[in-house]
Formats: sequence, C-alpha cells, structure tokens
Amino acid sequence: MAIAGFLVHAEAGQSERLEAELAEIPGISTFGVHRECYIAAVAEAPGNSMEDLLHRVHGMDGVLTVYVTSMTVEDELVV
Amino acid sequence: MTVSRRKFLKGSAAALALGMVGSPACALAAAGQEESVDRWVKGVCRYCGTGCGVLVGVRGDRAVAVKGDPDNHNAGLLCLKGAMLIPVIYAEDRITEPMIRRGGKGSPLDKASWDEALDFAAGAFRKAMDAGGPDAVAYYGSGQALTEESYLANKIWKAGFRTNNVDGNPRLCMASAVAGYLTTFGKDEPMGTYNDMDAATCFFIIGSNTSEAHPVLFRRIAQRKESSPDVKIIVADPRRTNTSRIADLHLSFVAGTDLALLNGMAHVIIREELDNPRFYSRYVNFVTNDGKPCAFEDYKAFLAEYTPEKVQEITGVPAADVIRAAKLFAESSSALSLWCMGINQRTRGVWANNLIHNLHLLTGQIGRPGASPLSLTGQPNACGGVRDTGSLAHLLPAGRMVANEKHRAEMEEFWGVPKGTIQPKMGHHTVALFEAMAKGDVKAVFIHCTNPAHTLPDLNALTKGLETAFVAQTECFMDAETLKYADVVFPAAFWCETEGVYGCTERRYALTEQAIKPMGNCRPTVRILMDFAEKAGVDPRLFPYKNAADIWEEWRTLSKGSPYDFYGMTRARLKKESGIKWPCPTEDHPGTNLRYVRGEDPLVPVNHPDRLFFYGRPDGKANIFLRPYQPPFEPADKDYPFILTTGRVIDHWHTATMTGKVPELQKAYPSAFVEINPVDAQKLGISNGDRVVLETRRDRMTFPARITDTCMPGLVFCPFFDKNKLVNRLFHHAVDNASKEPEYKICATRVYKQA
Ligand code: SF4
Repeated sequence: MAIAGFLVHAEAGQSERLEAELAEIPGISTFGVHRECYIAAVAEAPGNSMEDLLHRVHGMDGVLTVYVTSMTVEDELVV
Repeated sequence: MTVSRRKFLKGSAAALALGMVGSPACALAAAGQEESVDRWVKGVCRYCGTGCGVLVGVRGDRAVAVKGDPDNHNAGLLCLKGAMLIPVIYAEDRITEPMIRRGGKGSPLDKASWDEALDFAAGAFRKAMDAGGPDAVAYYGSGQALTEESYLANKIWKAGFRTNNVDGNPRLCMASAVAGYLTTFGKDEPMGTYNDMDAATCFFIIGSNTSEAHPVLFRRIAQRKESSPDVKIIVADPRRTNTSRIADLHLSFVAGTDLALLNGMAHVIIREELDNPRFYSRYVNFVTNDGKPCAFEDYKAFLAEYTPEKVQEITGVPAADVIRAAKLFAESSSALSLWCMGINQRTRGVWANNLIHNLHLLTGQIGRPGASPLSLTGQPNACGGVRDTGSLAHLLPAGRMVANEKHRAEMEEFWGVPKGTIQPKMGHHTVALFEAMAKGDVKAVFIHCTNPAHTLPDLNALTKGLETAFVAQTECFMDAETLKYADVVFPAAFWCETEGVYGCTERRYALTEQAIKPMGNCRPTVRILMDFAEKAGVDPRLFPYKNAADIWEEWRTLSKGSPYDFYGMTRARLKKESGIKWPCPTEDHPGTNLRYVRGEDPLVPVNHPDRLFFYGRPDGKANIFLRPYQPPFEPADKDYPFILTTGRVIDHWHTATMTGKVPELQKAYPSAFVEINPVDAQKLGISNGDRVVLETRRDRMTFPARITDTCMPGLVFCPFFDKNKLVNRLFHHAVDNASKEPEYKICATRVYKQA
C-alpha cells in the first residue's frame, strides 16, 4: 500500500465544495482548507492504483492542480 | 504493514502536506517522518529543469520514501513524477551488468565482465582513431548527466582524445536560449531566478506549457496570481493548455508566427510611448540583423510594418489582443517572461529569444525583482552540467570558446596539457554528428545518459549512423530505444546511488548525495569514464581523481574569477545547503539573485557608475536586435495542410524510460495519441478514438484521435514519450543557423482517418 500526502490547489471559491467531495472518495482523507485555496489530504492506495486516484482528483471540477508532498512505498519494497 | 504503522505513516503524510501550507499541525511532521525511515538524504529530482529539492528516505539499505525538501526553492512540493521516483530505482529492467554484442550489430547483447566490456569499447575507439584520427570518435552527452560527469567527459575528449566532437541532447533543447543570451547579453544563463515569480506583476509565458512541463513552477505562478488581483498573466501558445487556464489573456497564434507577434508587441510599445528611453539610451545598443550598429530610429522604422493589424494577418491573434498584451507587459511594475521549447526548438529559435529580450530592454523590465527574461530548461542539468562546463562542440568550460585561441591556451594550461592539444576547429553539433556517423567519418561514439534513437528529429535519417558506427553506451534501463544500436552497454549507477551536482534553470547548483549502494554490478559514471579512457590510451594523469568530489574541486577552482564564478560552493557547503545560486565567489557569499545588478551581483564592481552592467559585452551594454519575422522551415501548404507539433504530457518525462517504469504513471498515459480540434475532426469525419494517419514528407504513422479544443484548428499535437510510436520520425531535421537546434515544434502534415 502506498501513502501519499498532497495538496489540492483549488480554483477561487471552490475549496469548501471540493473538500467535501474529496472526503467522499474511498482512500482519501482530508485535513482542512488552508490559505483559502489549498486542501491538505492523504491518499492511501495500492501502488499501482495511486496514480489513478490522484488523477481522478486532478480531473475534478475546480481543481487547478495537485502537489504531492510525500510518497511512501515502504511496505511494497521491504518485505 | 500493521494498521498502527499505516496510521502512523498517514499521520506523517498529512503533517507534511499541512506543513507545506504553514499549518501549525505540521509540528507532527518532523517526529513522524523522521521515525519512519533510518535517515533522509538530500538530493535533487531526477527529472525536469525545475530542479526540485528532494529528501530520500532510506531504511536499511533501501530507499523507501521521497519527500520534497522544504529548504529548497520548491518549498517541499513535488509533482507526481518526482514523488514517484522510488519505484524507478527498483524497476525490474534495471541494467545491472555490463553487456556486449559479441556477434556485431544485430546479434544479442550478452553479459560481460567489466574488464571485457571496457576493453571491447576501448579497442573499438583505438581502432577508429587509427583509421580516421581523433575526429573519428565522439561523445554524446546529456543534460541529465551529473556536472562532474560532463566536465570529465569534456576534458577526456577535448584534451585526451583531442577531438571537439563533444555534444549532447542540450543541443536539442537549450541551444537557442544559450545563443540568445550570448548575442543579447554577452554571457549565457539568465539574470533572474524563481524568486522573480514572487514579485512579478505581469507574467508573459510564451512557448511553454508550464503546468505540465514544470508543474511546481506553475504552482508558484498560480500562487502569485492568487495573491493579488493586479497580477496579470499572458500565455502565448498555439495550444490551449492547462497553463492558459490561469491566464488573463491567451494569445493563440498560428504555430511558427511568434516572431511577428513579438515584433508587433514592440511596435505597440513604441507607438503608445510605453518604451523607456532613459533605460535603453544608457544600457542598450541597437544592432541590425547582420550585426551592424544602428540607432533607435532605425529600430522604430524596422518595426513600422508590424502593426497590430498586420500581425493579426500573420499570426491570427486579434489586433486588439496584440495591443492589450503589449500594454500589460509594458505598463506593469515588473514583467517576467518565461519560455521553453516552443521558442527554442525552432529554425529561428535564437531570433525568437532575442525578440523576447528586446521587449525587456525596450521597456526597462529587467534587473529588478520580478522584471526579467527567464528561459525554462527541460532537463535537470542542462545548465549546470553542460552549458556551464562547456560540454558542447563549440565550447570550453566557463564561457570559453573552442574557436578562441586565448581560451584554448587557458584551458591547456589549467589542464596541464601541451599547447596546441585542443583543436581549434569546432566539433560536430548533434545533427551533424549523426550525419557524420552515417557517412563513416565518425566511427565510434560514447553515448551517456540519453536516448538519441528516440529523441533525435527525423529518426529514419539520423539513426542510420547508429547502425554502422561503434556505439558504447551508459544506460540504466533495458527498454531505452538506443540500446538496439549499442555495441557495448555499461550499467551506470542511477540517481541517488551515486553523488553529484545538478544545476537548474535559475543558476542554482545543488548536490544529490549518495543514499544507497549502486544496484548489482553498476558503477558511478565517473569511474566508467576514467577506466574506459585509460584503456583507450588517454594519459591517466589527465584524471587523477578518486571520486566525483575531486572533480568538483577542480571545476570549482577553474570557475574562480570567471563570469561563472562559483568558487564559494565547496562540497561541504553543498552538503549543508539546499542549493546555491551563482555567482558565488566566496564561501561566505549567499549566492546571487539579480545578475548584472550593482550591489547584487558580486561580479559588478560596487563602485560601478551604472546600476546595471552587462559585463559580458565589451561596452557593458546589451543588444536590441532588428530580427524580422520569418516563417518556419516547413509551414503547412496545400499538399500537407496541417501543422504537427510535439511535446510532453504531465506524467511522462522525455522517453519514459523512467516514468514508464511506474505503473501508475504509465497507466495514466499508456501510449501516444493525436490531439485534433473538433472543427477539423468534423471536417475529416474523425471521432474520438478513431485511428488517424499523420503523413509528413518523412514518414507516415497512425495514432488514436483525441478530439479537443486544446489545439487550434489547423494544428495537431502528438506527445513524444512513447517508444512504440516514435513521432520524431515525422519531423524534419532543419536546424537554427546559429544554435544548430532542430525545429521539432513545427512540420507540415496530412491528417486523415485510417481506411
Ligand atoms: S516539477 Fe520537475 S523537478 Fe519538480 S518534482 Fe516535478 S519533475 Fe521533479
């Protein structure tokens, strides 16, 4: 299982709605809206579907872009 | 993984994300992340020219995590590519043993010992030189190679083998920017830095899809825009990319007509009296297209024909938008231009660079925070590794030129080789090099850290030389297209398996430290180069180094007193700090943000009478050039009525030998496609997903269609990452007269639905 911390950069006025929508996506936990436009979040998914998950976020209405702050894959690499 | 450990890692990930926006909850981060790995090792992302700082988490003898370095310019943020670097290290098809093709071209690559592989390559090089002299061998390097590797290879080939046949893939991406800086300001490399993004009130982004090619810089621009409603963004690009989503004004011009657009903006600036005579009368010379001095009045007369209406006719940009762009640029308190391959990969790429500089010099939008021309680089070390070390066919280190006798003598003295060792004749630039290989003039080439059989233009023509010349190659991954032609393959240590310096877009040099041991039988490239050169007959006294740090020490010393002075960047200091921007002449110097500016740039005397001093020019003044509009080499015509362009997608980098290893990234973009405007699609009866043929004067290929208004009518786009669809087969290989950079961005094509 990979774990990614990330920030969603939301278009002006979209962050509250987006945070609620993100919280509904399985595997994603949100940690509030910051400086009006950034939603802090964590995604947890098997390594081979993490990109799908983050892409889904990237493609949501009102998302300007997604910045990853950390990615841990340790249990997939260290048995 | 136990549930509690997963919770713990999730907490750490959340804390890091929060830390990036300055939330107090980030207090968790330090404790959480520090405990999840044994140690964090500082480095630089392996991918793009943004040069984001990373920290590699190591547990036992394995790298297990990556996080953004909060102390580097990226403030802890990464894009998906950078964040997913760990699986690339452990990709199944890593090359971990030397290989040779015992049965010659076409036979399989067999495992070999290091000695056998090195002897094999060295023997072929000796044989080539016996038959054709020093110029029968060549080095083809990379803007992804470490600085120490490029410096060393340059020295071995130019002073050891005595050939200037040293070139590399920066010729394909940055050469026009280099020649643009050299002709306008007298020295290569930008005067601004990323800090300017925090101060600019007008961004002029041209020929750059920043949101996909440099995602972390895009954040900085978008953040600046959000910080103030007064900040304006102009995006000039034939495609409506994500970058244009944050623009106040999108100038969608017909591909290849941007020289007219840039001259049109200058025309409006003068007509509306938005120019800055006080600035240009003090700091600027006006120069005709053939290099003769002229006056401002001549420039004004030259621009007379570029009326907004005429520019509209040529470019398709409404005259009102040309006027608006010129006004936004000139009337802003600080204008920052950003550009990339859309400007550089052109047969008039140098001119296009000059014309961007012209706008800044005409308005005085230069040498202040936020006011600067700043070219973005595509690769992580094209600037620091190749441009600064002079690892191209016409260059010598630190801004010296092969053709300059004094410069050659300086290098011969510094390198301790007899006078006359360095040949006065320039070597082959990239396209000429591969042509010379096809002709048999260059008989053996050492290719390092790049994949030319995928990235060269007009591949059918230019890979011919690889079929006949002896090819020695350092490579990390088995699926690199060039391996098909390699006679010997050296397994190189990858990224954080070794150590070395990268220098990114903003003159920032940063060290990647070794985090883990090289995999299998891989070795650091500096070791490979030295062992190979010695066996090939180069005097080993030329490279008395134990490791990369020794090479850095020599290069740092050589830079002392030069216009590229970074003598203050000791290895110890680079280990401690997250990158330093040159000029940085002393160990206590903090690095330079505003180059050429008195009080900022240590190379400008503190008592210089002028605030700005372009010390690369004999009289300290920069040049405004009278460069006319010229169409691209192969515009659309009645036989080939569409323009084909190419570029990146966000999740793949270059030839995807790395990003293609990450299933997540590969899944996002499994294969190449062609973008077609809905208007054209309707006319041609093409629907989404249809097989579409692109036929140019070189070749014909089929791609699935993506119907989207990203491309304007008349333009189609194909990304180049896909090794199964080598779109570069379709492009011609015409080059810029001065920079010798090919015009990847524009060729004429037919477009039709596959029968
Ligand atoms: S923006 Fe470029 S340097 Fe930064 S993480 Fe992404 S690929 Fe790496």
